[in-house]
Amino acid sequence: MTTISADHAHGHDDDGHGHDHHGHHPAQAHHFESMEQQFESGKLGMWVFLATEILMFGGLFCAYSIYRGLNPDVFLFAHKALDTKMGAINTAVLLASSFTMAWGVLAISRGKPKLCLLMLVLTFIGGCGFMGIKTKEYYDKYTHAFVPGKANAFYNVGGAYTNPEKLQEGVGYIQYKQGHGDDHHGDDHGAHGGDHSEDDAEHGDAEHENDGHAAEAAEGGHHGDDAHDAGKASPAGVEAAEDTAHAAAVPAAPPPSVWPPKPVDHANIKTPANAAPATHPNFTRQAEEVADVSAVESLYKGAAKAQAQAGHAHYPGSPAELDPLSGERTHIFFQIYFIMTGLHGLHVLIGMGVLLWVAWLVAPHAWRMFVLASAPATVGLYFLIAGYLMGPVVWMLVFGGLCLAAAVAMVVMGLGKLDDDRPGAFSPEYYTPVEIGGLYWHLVDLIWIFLFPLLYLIH
Amino acid sequence: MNQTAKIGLLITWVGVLILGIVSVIVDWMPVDGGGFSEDVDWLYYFIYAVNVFFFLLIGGLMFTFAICGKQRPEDRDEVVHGATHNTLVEVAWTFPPLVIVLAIFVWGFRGYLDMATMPPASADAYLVDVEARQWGWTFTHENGASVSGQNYNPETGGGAVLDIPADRPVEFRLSATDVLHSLYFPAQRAKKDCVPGRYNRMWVEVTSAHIDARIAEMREDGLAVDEQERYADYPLHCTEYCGQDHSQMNGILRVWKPEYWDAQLDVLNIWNKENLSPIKWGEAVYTNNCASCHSVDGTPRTTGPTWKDLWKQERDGGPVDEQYILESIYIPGAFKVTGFESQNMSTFAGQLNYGDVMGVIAYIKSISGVDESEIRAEYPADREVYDGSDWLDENNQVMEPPALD
Amino acid sequence: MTTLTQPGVHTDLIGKPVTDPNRETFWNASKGWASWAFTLDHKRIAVMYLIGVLAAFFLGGTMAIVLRTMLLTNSDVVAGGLGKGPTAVNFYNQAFTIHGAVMVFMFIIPAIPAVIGNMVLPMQVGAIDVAFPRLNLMSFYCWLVGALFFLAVLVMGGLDTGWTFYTPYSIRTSTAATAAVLGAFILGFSSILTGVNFVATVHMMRPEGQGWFKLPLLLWALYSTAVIQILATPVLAITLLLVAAERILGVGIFDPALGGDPVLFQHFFWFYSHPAVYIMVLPGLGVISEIISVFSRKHIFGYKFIAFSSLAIALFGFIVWGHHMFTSGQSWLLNAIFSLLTMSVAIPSAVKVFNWLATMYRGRIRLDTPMLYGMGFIWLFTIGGLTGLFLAALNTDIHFHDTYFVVAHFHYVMVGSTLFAFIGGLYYWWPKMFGKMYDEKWGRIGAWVVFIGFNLTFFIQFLAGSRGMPRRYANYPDEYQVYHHISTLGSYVLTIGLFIVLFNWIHSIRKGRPAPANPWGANSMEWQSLSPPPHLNFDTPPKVGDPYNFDGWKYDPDIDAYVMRDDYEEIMAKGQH
Repeated sequence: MTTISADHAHGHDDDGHGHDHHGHHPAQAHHFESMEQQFESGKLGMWVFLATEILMFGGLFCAYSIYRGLNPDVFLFAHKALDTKMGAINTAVLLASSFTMAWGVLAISRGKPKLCLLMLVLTFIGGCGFMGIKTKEYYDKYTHAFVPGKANAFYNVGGAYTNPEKLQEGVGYIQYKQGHGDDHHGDDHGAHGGDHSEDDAEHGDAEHENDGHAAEAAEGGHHGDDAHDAGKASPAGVEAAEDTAHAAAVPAAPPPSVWPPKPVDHANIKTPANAAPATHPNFTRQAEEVADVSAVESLYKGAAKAQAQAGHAHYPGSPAELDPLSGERTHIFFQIYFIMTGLHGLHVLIGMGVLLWVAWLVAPHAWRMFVLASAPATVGLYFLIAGYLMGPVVWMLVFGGLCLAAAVAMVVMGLGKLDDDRPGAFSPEYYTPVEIGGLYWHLVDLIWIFLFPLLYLIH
Repeated sequence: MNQTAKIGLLITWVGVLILGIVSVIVDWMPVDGGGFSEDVDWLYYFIYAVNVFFFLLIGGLMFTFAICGKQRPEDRDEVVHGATHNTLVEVAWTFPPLVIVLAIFVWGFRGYLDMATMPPASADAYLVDVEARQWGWTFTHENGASVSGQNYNPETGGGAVLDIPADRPVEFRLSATDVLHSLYFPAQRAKKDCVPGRYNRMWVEVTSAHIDARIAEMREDGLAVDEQERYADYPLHCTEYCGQDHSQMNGILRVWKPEYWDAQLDVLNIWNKENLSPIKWGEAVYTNNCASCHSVDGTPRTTGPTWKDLWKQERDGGPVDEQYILESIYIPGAFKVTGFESQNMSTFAGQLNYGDVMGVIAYIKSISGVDESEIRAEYPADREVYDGSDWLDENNQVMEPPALD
Repeated sequence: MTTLTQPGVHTDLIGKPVTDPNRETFWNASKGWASWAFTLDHKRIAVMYLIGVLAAFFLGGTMAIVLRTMLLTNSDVVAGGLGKGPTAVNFYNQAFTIHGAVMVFMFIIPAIPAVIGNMVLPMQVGAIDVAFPRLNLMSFYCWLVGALFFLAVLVMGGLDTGWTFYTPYSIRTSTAATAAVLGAFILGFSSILTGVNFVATVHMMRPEGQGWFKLPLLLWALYSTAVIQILATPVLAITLLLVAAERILGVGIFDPALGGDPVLFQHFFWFYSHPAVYIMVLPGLGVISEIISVFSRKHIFGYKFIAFSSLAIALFGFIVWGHHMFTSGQSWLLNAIFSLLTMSVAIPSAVKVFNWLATMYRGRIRLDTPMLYGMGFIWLFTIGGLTGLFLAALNTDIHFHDTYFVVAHFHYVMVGSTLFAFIGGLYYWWPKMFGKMYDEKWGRIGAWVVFIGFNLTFFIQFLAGSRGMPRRYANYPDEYQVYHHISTLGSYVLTIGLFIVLFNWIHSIRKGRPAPANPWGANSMEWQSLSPPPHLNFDTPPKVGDPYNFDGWKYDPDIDAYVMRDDYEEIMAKGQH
């Protein structure tokens, strides 16, 4: 709490018509008594706002916990679609940018605007890096049909999978990831890893996958004993291995399961069947549908069992091993992933906007145009690179080029103003925007610190 | 105190007195149809008494203070210097309400535990499956009989009629196919939501005495009652907003005296007049359709594998379960049993309905050593394909069941 | 003869310069539409909010009258008649949904904080403005955009989900639920911004000498409200976003058909919406604390108990949400815990009522319009609060859940209490806001008509609900028709009463006599300013004192108002005890 000054009333009289009277910092708003009060108010307001942000993400974390608690196997299975390495790099990038941000705030509070500007620029570059890597990740998801909403590979209505072709690809990709270079599975996969070598080139190709895994399934029979020897295999694993051996003997008649991914007409789905617990026969599946035992499903079951036999018995190999209701929730992992990271990404973007605004204020007038030019430059570079990598996509390249041109134009304009010797807006007496912008950036960082292990590092 | 104030005070407290008397006279709760009404009404009237007391006290005091202390225009300047705080008084009026609300909580909790605890197996509870949909109810009985409809129509007797026996607990297994609904028996003070994706349970027990009382009351009100006094009707509503025809889901809870229940079950029974259990029904289906190829005592036959101990046996398609049996009957080619590859069983799709298959499953369980009570506990299960409507004529009356063969 | 402290105050307080058309007030400080559209003045924002929420109230009220009128007729549904046809039923479903959603999100939640709070809160801490005037303006525009979304809903096919947006119905309905949840999302932002502003203002802008316990109780209530707004609204925001995502993308978190859980939505929704109930009623409790004390001419009794009970209600409000879900199938243990916690809310509410009564005890009670609303508030809040006991107790709630009993209960709390506090508070601060006095006689008549109409409308619904009338029924069993007739009749009386109030206000603005600075003899700081206040609120710095010590003011019959005694500071320093 601050004190009300003795000349309060007179201050008001003057103040109503301008801020130029004696003793007041030009940045002080008329309704504040002192710079200190203004600064503290701004900080308090920002903290309160951050509390609302945390609670908003808190709702999502709550939904995450509930679904993970209900379906731990689904989360174990589906998180393999995420790239831990990229997530880790992004974590490092954000942490570093938080560090530079803090340094920037320190710099301006010590009266070093140029150092502060440098730090803000570094922070901004960190944000760009984060969003770039995130784009790459999203793009990888996109190519494997791990997209939000109804196009997701695992999307299903009442257990009837609506995108069977994508499902095939999605499961194949996850299994591929599972078999390859995954740090927290180390030696578990042993000999099995080699089986996938041919998948490296084109793991996305469904036909190819099919062959590859069928081969594995057949091979699984021979490895049956290994599973016993490994000593790690659970009874389920043993059973699975035996089943696989059996299945390999009669490859022509793939068994139907409680998890048959069936193509259905979305419009015809009226009454979801997942109301029935797993112990009850699920009669909604019409006779014809039951007859339609697709190759897809035998693929997953066979592949999953081969996986299980090869030492992954503790780990769900595919949704076929999951409880039917859980299997139906596999897509919810991706939905939660996209909503959480999407909302976080939006916050990063807003944070980058705030950084740019703060940097513009910090910079001496002569440099402001250059700071401003970084906005179109960033967008332009982003679209150029993305457009090139994705296709190339012409409209992205054109748009990126236009943005870069705008940036160049702004730089040219800026060159004409180099003789403007006015300093930046902030001083150790007044740097509230830097402070609260920094708080916001730290919040964005903090949320990611939670998101990364929760989504990428599931054990 | 002047004359006006005295009159005002008189009016206030006479009003308080009248309100108090009126509040005692008014009968708030609906007809007592057994269930939990005794407990609920007790607590209701206790809280009611507490409420009337506090409300009349607060309202009366408020008017009294206003009348006694009414400011005269010439007193505008007067400021009253009374006590501004008194911790003792605060504590004194904080604790009695605390004790009262805790008592209310404990009372309500005990009554609620009774509602939430399903009757034990020894209580011989009757199980009804209740499935809500937009917009109507389907009630499926233990024998597979199923009644479906919207509003009860007294002219035709059609609509959602939920028949239950009296003098024994009746358990309801609630589910919904689309959106939230809620089953509400006002006379039994029972309510539970029907949530898609999960089963909720609720139970009530109505005695014959309640039925007699209800019939007498309805007679008094000039309402139509059953001439033979076999049953009494109570209302039933959907209380969770579910869209357009939410208000058209008013059915009837029809409670039958135990001596008439078996006969009513026969009427409801769409499988046969003998009121067979699912196992017996399965046996009949087996005898008429399957016995020529499959044995049930383990005797090997070349035409088909025996059903003896079939349940949960490991087969190519996994252990034998409901899905396996269903698919084997409808799409015989789906599973081939080793040794019978050359046999081509023809499909029974179109010949055996859902209820028949349920019976067969129950029968297979029974000859595989599954305990009978366990089998009964499973029925009726999911009825999403079959809602029994094909057994009802245009007046919603149950048609004659077809001959067995 | 009055003696006054300062020359500047003197002339204003005796009322003469008030008639001076040239005096600068916040109304005439600047001119043109832009001076309003881009104003940062909390008083002008309050006025704009007032017009907005009254328009929303009119829309919601129209819907209420429509649906009450539709419930007059009923063609014997249970006896096999068809009742209302699908068109009428759909219209009814939309009417109650729009009524509920507009009243809750656009009227009750912003009403007292955004209108009375914006007007009075900065002045009660002697400040020129709230801490963040730009955010304040942004809050209003968020409200406006959210309101436009709701208007768009009306033309885009309406809304029939009920204001609670329960899934999976809200996911499946063909009506404009997406626009509605986005509208509510934006309205939520408006609420958050107001909350942030109030917290920062109360924390940072108080003058020296005004400790926490010298705040008027309205500020404690608004502060508690702001805490709820800040902590609860974001959860609603994310919940509504998820519902929108369900509808647009089909993410399945709340949709059982996709493996989701509809009960999870209820948890999320009520985690906000139960505290939101206290967002609606707490400011009303604050307003009444002011009115009761001022019009009893007596220091408020048990200041600290009332203040802390506001905080207690705000905190307890966060841990009781599960009592909306006793029948949803959540475990008996959760139900028991939520029931017990819900009981705890009864205590601070009871403490408030008892303290108001103790304040009135032996007071010199001035039965003017605001006080009539204050007493009406106590009456209705007592009924609303006491009937809450039925709904907090587990087994009685099983019977009453989703019946008209619940409808009657929350209308007593929401409408009875909040609306009465809002109208009473507006009458109380009307002179300060508009600089005009209202017609006392018609004010009292209006108060009585509203009071009678309200009780007629809603008390009978307790009876209907007790006897099993489910809520949200377009058609109903005939036995309930008599209750609906009485209720509908009451709603017409209520409407007449509200129009009397409205005409009284309009008449006051047009023809009312100029208001003195302090017509009630109140001692919170806003009364030390002129009516209406100048652009910067105070011409001279207000003096800090106990807001409920009325000794510092003397009645001046010439202007029918109170003027400050010249030994005001000594009186305040001495205190009442």
